[in-house]
Order: sequence, then structure tokens, then C-alpha cells
Amino acid sequence: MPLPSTDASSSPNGYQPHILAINNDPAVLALFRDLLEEAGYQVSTQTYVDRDLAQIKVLKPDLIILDYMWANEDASWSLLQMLRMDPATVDIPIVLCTGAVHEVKALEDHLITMGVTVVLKPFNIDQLVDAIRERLAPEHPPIVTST
Amino acid sequence: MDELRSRLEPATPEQRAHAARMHELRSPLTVVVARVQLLRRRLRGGDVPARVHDDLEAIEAALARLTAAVERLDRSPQSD
Repeated sequence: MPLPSTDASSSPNGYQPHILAINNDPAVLALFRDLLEEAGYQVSTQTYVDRDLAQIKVLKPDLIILDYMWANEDASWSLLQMLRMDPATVDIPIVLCTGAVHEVKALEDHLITMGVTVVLKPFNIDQLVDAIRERLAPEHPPIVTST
Repeated sequence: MDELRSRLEPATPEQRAHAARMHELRSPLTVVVARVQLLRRRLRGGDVPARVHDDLEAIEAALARLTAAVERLDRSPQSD
């Protein structure tokens, strides 16, 4: 049942933006799916194990949620790098949802230049939905938000 | 990009271990905090016994303390 306090994110013509969430934690992926579907988005999920740039190009998501994980930084970083170097994915907004608070705050300017919005864990659910909504509105730049 | 990557990575093995531990703490904490917020929304306006709201308030208070403890741990000397 849709949540009464969340705004439908579909446009007036009925288009539901498509979000791809990539994370190795099934509980986090399930959370993203429940939260964002109830907020009116289409949601696909992938793990870093099966990360597949070709599949991402087929899905053509409107936005990607990544987790930068220090325990698995090669997979995390290489995917971020691939997404930003491939012409087919370079313009897809990215929301980096991470617990690496110190490192990410120190690199805020660089990440914004790369078109990456940062949401720090643990987040308020409204913060995440607001960050996604703002990134899907082209007039809004990337942001760094925290509790 | 490689320069940025080197700046993203924790500098020492101790820092890397600390960052990994913080990831292991923050991810499940994120799930619990967000699920409680979703539950709070779903119960809003419904015919819910007062003791359910009391239980939720107690969970939220405990989660706030746990979140604060995680933040303090992340600011501890070994994270520098």
C-alpha cells in the first residue's frame, strides 16, 4: 500500500523514473526497493559481484545508487570509474550512499565535480528520497547531505 | 581519477580496518533506522494501540543512542 506521507515521483505523463541500486548487502537492497517503490520509482538492484556495465546500459536507469565500500574498494571504485568514463553512462546521476564519512566529506568538491551526490549512513529516509528527487530535476546540482 | 582514488583510500592498514569496521556497523544500523522510520509512517493515522507507539519510541531512543555511539567510535583516535 502506498505510503500517505510520500509524494508520488512519477511525472504528470505517468513516467516513473528508474533507479538502479548497487550494493552487496541484501538487506540494504531490500530497503532501497521498498522505500523507493513506495515513493513512486521503478527500482532495479544489482550486487557488486554481478556488476555489469553492459547490463546497466541495457537498463538505462535514470539514477544509480552506489555504496563506496572500503572493504571492497576495487569493485566500488572501478564501477564508479567505468560509469563516469563511458559515454553511455557518464550523464547518469549517481547518489553515493556510504558510511565512509571522513573520506567522503574531505572529497566533497571532487565528488560534486564528478556529478556524485553523497548521502551518509545512517540516513533519514526523507533525506535519501529528497536527494534522489533533486538529482532527477536537472536544475539541481549534486549535494552532500548528512544527519 | 587515480589521484582521487588514492585520496579516497584510508592511508594505513589500521585506518582501512577501522573503515571496514565502521562500514559493518553503519550498514545494518542504516537498515534498522530506516525500517523504523517506514514503520512509523505506516502506522500514522491508523488505529494502533498506544503501547505500540510507546514501543516504537523506546526503539527510536535506543537507536539514537546507538547512532551517537557509532559516531563517537568513528571519531576515535584510531580513525585518524
